Amino acid sequence: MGTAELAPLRERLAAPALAPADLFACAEEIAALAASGNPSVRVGLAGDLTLDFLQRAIACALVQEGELPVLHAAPFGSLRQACLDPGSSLHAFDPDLVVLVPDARSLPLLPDEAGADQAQAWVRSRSEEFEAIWSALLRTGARIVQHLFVLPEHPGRGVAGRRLAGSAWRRVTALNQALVEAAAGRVAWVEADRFADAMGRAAFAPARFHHAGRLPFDPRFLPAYLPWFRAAWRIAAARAKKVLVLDLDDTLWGGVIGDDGLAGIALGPDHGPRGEAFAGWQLHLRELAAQGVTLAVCSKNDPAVAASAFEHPASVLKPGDFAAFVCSWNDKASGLCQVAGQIGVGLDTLVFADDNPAECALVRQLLPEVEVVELGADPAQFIARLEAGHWFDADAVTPADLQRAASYAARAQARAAETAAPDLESYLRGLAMHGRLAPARPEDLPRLAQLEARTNQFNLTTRRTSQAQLAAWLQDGSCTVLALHLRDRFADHGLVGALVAVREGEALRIESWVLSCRVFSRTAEQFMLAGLMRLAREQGASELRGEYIATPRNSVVADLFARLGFAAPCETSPWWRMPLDGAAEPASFIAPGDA
Amino acid sequence: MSDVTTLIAAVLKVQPAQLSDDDGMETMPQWDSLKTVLLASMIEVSYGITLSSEDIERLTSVRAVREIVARHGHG
Repeated sequence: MGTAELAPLRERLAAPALAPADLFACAEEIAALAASGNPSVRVGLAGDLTLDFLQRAIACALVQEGELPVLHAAPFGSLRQACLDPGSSLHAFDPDLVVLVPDARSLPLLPDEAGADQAQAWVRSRSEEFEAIWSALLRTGARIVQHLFVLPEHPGRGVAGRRLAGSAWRRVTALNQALVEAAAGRVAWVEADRFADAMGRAAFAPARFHHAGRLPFDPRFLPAYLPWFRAAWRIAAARAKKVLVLDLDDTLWGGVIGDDGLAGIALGPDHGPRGEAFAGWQLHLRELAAQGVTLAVCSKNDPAVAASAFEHPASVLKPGDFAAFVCSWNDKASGLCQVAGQIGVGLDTLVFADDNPAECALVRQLLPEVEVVELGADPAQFIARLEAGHWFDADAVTPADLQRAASYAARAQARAAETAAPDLESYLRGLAMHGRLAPARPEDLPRLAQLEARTNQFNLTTRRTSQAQLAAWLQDGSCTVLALHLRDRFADHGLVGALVAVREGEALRIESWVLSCRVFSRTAEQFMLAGLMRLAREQGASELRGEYIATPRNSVVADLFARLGFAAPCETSPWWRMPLDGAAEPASFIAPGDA
Repeated sequence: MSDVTTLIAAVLKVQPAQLSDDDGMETMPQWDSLKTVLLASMIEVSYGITLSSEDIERLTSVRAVREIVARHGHG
C-alpha cells in the first residue's frame, strides 16, 4: 500500500486534540486520493440513521490503519433492503467491508405488558433477521463490522426497569448478547454501548441531535470513535496486534533500577500512591497476558540489573512472563526489531509502551509499523492510556490464548535445552513431543480461524480463510479440516497447526496449511504429512497435490513440498504432486498420542 | 474561544472573510440541514453551552447564529 502518500494524513490524524472539522477535512482529501489513485478497500455502510459524519470518521480510521478507502453509504434508513436485495446500490458497489449501524430506536416495539416469553421471542426474531443479513453479505465475500446497540438511556423506573423482562433496556441488553453469540466470529463488533458509556451516556446522543438530523450521536465524539472502529477493523481484517513491548524504568516501576536499586524503586503500597499505581499497572498487564497478549521488554539497561528488579516483593510480573527480554544500550528501534525477531512476529503486530516522549518519538519515526503508546509521567493514567487504543480487543479468547504465556516460557526453556543438546536429533528426541492430528471439531474453530488469520510464515497459500468458511468446510463431505495439537515435556502447546484438504477426483488437494512459528523445525510438517497420507489412502485417493503461493513473509515454506518429496510442477501439471502408491510415510520426532 | 464567523467558515469550508451577516442557507448551497447540526455541536463545544431544538433549527444564517450565541451569554 502506498504508505508514503498516507503519511501526511496519518500525521494530522495523530494530533492530540482532533476536532470533527479536522476529520472532515481529512475525509475530503482521502476521497480525492481514492478517486485519483488505487483504493485498497471498498467500504459500504448501511444503518438506521444519518451516516454522513460516521462515514467520514471511518475513512479517517482506515487511513490510520494504513488503508486508502473508498466509501459508499446506502440510502437513509434502508439497512435491510440494502443488504438483502442483490440489486441494491450497496451490492452494486461491491464492498470488501460492510459496516452496519443499526439503532435501538428503530427496533420494533413490544406492548408494555409483554412478559419474559414474548421478550425472548422478540430477541430471537431480531437475531434471526440479522443472521439473514449476515448470510447475504458473507455470500458476496464481504467482511462485516457491526455496531452493538446503544442501550436506552432510561431503563424505566430505575432497577424495576432492569428486572422487567419486557422492558426495552432488558430486551436490547439481551439482544446485544444474543447477536454476539450468534455471529460467532463472522462479524467484528464496534462496542457502541461501551463507547456511549465511555463518553458519558447522558451526553452521548442528546435528543436534540436525533431530532435535528437523525445523527447516531453528538458529532463532538467522532474523534473519540476512531480507536473503537480501528479495533473492529483489525479484527475483521485479521491484523491483530499480538505483542505488548514495555520499557522498564518509570514504566513498570517508579525510578531507575540501575541508579535507585531494589530498595529505591517505587512499587507497591509501601511506596505511596505512586507505588500503588505501578503495582496496579503490573496487575493489569498480567491480566492481559493471562488472556493471551504476549508481553516483552525493551529497555536500556544491563540485563542482569533489569532482571533483579523483578525480585521486588511487590512485583507481580516476573522475567518468565516475557516472551522476549531485550536489555541493551542500543536504541529502542533496534531493540524492538530484536524483540520481533526473537518472538518470530512482524513489527506490525507490536505495541510499544514507554513513559519517555523522546523514545516514543524515535520509534514512531524509525518504525512506523509499530504502534506507540506514550504513557507519560503519571502511572495512575497508564491503564487508561493503553486501553484508549483498544489494541488487544479480540473476538474470542481461545484455549491457545490462555496457554500462550506458558507456551512461550516453555519455548525459552526448549531453546535453552537446544543450546545444551549436542545435536539437533538428540534435542528433538529430548523434547518428548506428542501430537494428535485429527479432523477439527466445532470448538476448534476460533483457534483455527486465528491460525489462518495470523500465521504469515508457515502459510503455504495464505488464504486467510474465515471462521465462517472453515465451519462450512467442516460440514462439507469433500473437504477435510485437520487440526494438530502438540505437547512436549515443557508445555502443552495446544492447537498449533491446521491443514485443509479438498477431494478433487482421484487427488486430495492441499488447500491450506498453516503451522505456528512456535513449533518450527520440529518435524511437525512430517508428522502432519504422514497423517494426511494415511487419511488419503483410507479415502481411496491416489495422489496428494498442492501449490505454494509466495508472499513477502512465507519464504520459509518455498521449499516445503520439495523437502517432503513431492514432484515439482511441470508442463503436464501445475501442482506439486505425491502419488500415494508406494510412497513411504515420512518419519518425525513426534509420537502419536494424547495432546 | 472561536469567533462565530470562524466557526461557521470551518464548517462550510470557506474563508471567514468571505462571510457576511446576511449569508445563510439561502445564499450558500453548501449550508444544508446537516451542516446546521454539525454547527450546533461545534457551537456547544466552543462556548460550553447547550442549545435547544428550536435554537438548532434557527441556525440558518450568520446573523441568526450570532444572535443565538449572544442569547446564551457569549460572543
